[in-house]
Amino acid sequence: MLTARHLTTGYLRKSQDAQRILEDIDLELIPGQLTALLGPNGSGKSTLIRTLAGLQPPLAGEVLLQNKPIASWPAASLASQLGLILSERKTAANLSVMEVVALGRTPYTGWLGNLQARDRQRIEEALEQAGITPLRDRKVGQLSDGEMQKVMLARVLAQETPLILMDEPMAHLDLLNRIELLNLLRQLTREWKKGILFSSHDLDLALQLTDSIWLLDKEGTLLAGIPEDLVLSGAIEKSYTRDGLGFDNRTGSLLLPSPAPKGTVSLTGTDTFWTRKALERHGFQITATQTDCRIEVMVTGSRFSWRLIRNDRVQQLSSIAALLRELSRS
Amino acid sequence: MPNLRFSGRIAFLSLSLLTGLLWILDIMTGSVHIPLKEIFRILSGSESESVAWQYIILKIRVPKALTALLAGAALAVSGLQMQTLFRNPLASPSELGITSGATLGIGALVLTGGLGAIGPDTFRQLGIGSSWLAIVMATLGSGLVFSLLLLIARKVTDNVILLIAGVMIGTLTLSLTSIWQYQSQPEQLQAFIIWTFGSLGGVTGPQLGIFTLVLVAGLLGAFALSKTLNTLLLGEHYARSMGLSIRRSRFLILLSTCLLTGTVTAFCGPIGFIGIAVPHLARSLMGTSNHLKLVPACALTGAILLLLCDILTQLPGSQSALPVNVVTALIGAPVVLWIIIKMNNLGSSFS
Repeated sequence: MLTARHLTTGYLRKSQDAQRILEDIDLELIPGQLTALLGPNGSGKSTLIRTLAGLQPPLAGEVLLQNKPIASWPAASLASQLGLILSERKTAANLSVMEVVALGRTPYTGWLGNLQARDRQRIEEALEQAGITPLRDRKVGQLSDGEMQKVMLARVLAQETPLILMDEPMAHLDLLNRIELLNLLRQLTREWKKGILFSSHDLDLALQLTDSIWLLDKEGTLLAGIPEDLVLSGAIEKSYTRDGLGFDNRTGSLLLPSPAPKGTVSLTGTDTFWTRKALERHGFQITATQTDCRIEVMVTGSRFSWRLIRNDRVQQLSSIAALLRELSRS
Repeated sequence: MPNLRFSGRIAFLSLSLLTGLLWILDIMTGSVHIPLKEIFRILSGSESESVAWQYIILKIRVPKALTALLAGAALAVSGLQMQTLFRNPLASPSELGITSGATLGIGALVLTGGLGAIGPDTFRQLGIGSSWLAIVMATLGSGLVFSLLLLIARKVTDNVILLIAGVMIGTLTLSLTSIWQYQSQPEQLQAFIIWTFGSLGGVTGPQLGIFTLVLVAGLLGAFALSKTLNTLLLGEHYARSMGLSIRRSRFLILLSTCLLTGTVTAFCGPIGFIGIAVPHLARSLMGTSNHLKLVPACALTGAILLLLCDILTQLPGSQSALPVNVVTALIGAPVVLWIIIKMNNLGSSFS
């Protein structure tokens, strides 16, 4: 278990006072839990992760791994407890996927790094878990960002650490890859009782898939709790509200600034969800009462069509785009 | 991966064969023509029909070929270690001033009167004690420059800036060497200039034994550091997270590199281009960045290249020989240019 007591992170500077980023925070990373570290750019997520990993010293307070200060752990035994995925993407393009994953066995191999049967078995399992067994002989220079991220994950899995810290593992990944990765992390916390911390900007996914959230704000405070508690306490709403942007506590999604109002339309039909979304995004207010402008959504089989009734003039339209074009023409 | 391993073996086999072939060829070439049959007879320990031939082969050409082989391997491997440690494709002993550091060490030794003057024949004329002293001084000199570079590398991460810093340190040490040159006698100066041309012929007798001992130890040390070097490929933060003690690794790599470069520089002069060019050749030849394969591949390729350069110093049909540094530059500079122009290749080694 990784704990932080009265931790202050930041950077020492010779000329001025130390630059403090987070002050006096207490944290606990528990095995078997998936924790997201959320916060705006520049709020100190990477600094916190590097401090927790022992890569940079805290300005005050301490980081404890199994009740021992992290700085007092010898590098080799620390490497069997705490795995790390950093946001820096330094690799050698000439290495094969297999060779990069095999580097995860570094704490366990002999002085030349020769792999024993057990190492090979763990590497195969790690490739399998990360879903990249087919890529094993490819050079890492040829991989996409998503594939590379999985390789780094397989490497840290091969390291067999009970705790894993990840800095922005989902940056550069598309939505499906992000969901896939988070699901995988979740499974690892469930089946292998790993404690995983990842930093992210992805509020929606973090709310849906994590066990707990550490929320940073620009003032250098950190709130920890399970996602739902943070939503109900208004903490998420507070840190994600800025200049017309906001967080809707009711739906759990981000709100965008509302566009200039364009008028009121009435909407009827069976499946109006996406039509409503499009109309609202363009500034139309939707009512159930009769207005001068009526839209009916019609479904025949799987084909949608729209009927626009204005001033007793009826138009048949085949797409929402056409509908919006007609509406703006008035 | 049976296929990969197979091709790796074939590559090593062909490199070893080529090394052996060039070694023989290097012994064959020289201003005096000696029949191949005689060379083999002399090498296998039998009497030759000419005592002069026997002397030339055993006392001059074999030591020279052995020196070329070891020096080439040593310079290439220290280049590889530096490129991986600094994650910089343009790092190498001569480019980052390590060689000039060794020169400074030798210069200091000469200035304080430890040696009369440095030249191709210095170590032949002086006793064994002086060669150990020269190795220590050259290694210390290059170690000094290397430590400075490590300090700078902590502050700056930009590859190009580090390179410029290395060039500056090199200039600085060379200017210190110039102070000594300015105060030297003309004969000393001439010997020094000849030394800077690089020579593989000056290591004979007991010196060759010391030279071989130190370089083989340094090369074995570099091979033993393969795992460390591999771990460093992902950058120092990752290396640390995988249990590597960065300080210890840096020191061991520094020690091995400086021992290799320092010793070669002390005995053969500042030989350029092998250190920067060979690691790239070996990487593209082996198609890997795995140091368990790269260190031996670099050693063999470096040996091949320097043997080839030594053969080419002996201009066909001519009695005179070119200095080896001229030939390594003639071969090495185009290789480095090719690497820079093919920026893809350069960027892909460390990205």
